[in-house]
Amino acid sequence: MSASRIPLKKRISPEERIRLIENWFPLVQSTNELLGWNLDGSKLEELILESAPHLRCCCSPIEAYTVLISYYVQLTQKSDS
Amino acid sequence: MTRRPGGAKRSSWHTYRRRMTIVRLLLRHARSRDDLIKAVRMELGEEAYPEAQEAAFKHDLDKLKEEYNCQIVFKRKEGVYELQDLGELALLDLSDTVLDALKIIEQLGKLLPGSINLSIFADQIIRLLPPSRRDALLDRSSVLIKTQGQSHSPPEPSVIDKIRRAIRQRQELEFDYTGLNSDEPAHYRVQPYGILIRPEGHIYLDANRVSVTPSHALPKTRNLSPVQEFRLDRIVADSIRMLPNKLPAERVGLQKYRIKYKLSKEVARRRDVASYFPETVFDYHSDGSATVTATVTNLWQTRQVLLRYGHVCTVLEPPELVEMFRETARGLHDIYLAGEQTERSLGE
Repeated sequence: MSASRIPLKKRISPEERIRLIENWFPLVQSTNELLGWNLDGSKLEELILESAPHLRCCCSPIEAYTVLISYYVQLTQKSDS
Repeated sequence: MTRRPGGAKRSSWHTYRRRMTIVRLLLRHARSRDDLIKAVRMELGEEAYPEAQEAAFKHDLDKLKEEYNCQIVFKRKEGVYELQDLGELALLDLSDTVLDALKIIEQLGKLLPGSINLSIFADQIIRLLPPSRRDALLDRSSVLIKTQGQSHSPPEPSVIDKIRRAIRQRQELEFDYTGLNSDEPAHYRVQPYGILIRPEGHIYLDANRVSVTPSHALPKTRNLSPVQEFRLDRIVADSIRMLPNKLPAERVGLQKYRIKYKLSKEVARRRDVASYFPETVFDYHSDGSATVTATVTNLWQTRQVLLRYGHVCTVLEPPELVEMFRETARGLHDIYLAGEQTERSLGE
């Protein structure tokens, strides 16, 4: 299995994981509030980690919102099934 | 047989409405001939079509093609008519601003799962556009990159491109950067780890600093940690360069802090306090207040976030964060209360 196929949360150190979540938490939380997703902290962390490969290369707010909405839909579909 | 005056005009208007109804029905989806005739009659009344309805219907389609250049094709396999192009009836002329919004919807539709149906929505709107506006929409291909939320000075595309590549390829970068401490840019060599966007729209590169020239460009408080955030719009565009040096397997210099703060009952009594940090745990108390613990690496950012609570939040841990709040409080005191104290002492 190549490094890129291993889920990001397993590839990075605990410190890097915290840093990644911390970096995106304010934007993700504000999106959560604006769009009424009502996700709690642990779900928001899951959303950040799942979307991180795309999120950390986003260079505009609209790109980041797009990635977040996309992964939010996947997350909710996963929890529904 | 005598014709009533105005009968021809009414008949012409009737035919026109019938043809427009066909177009409108086909915009929604492809339909069979019988289905279309039935739907037109439902809308305009039984008299919408004469007895020779099939011939009249065919005539309607011919006229739509001939007079308005509509492209309506019969799909033999499904037995339905499909409207492929509105021709002269594409009358929805949208402004450039609205085209930008439509482009975002179209691109979101491609990214989101099919169940969201944004693509279908965008397709239907695009079909209503005249050819010139459809071409204009195609030209707006990079609108998602260009739109910058509330950021007033978007970073240069060349900067974005190099940063993205360096992050993906895990290679060092060098660039000139104008920080808060000086108007003159300093030269940085960094290990890039990711981009982050704050809710206010500013975009940052999260990196480890390898070197900086001149060294006094560095704020004293950051001397110990190599971890630094760089606002993308403050990077000098033509100075950025990817270096061959690879990033280490694991990022160094990150320090985890367990933070603890108390929120008074004004904000915590409803037990619906939002999480703003990783590993947040709430401990709600019977008096309505709450103690919150979390884990962070960036105390400066933590202070920014917690300042939103004002005096209803008391930071308890770690000592470094408590000291930062003391410093902030001293600064606020100097701004708002120092004069008051002087006035009071003068009064005494």
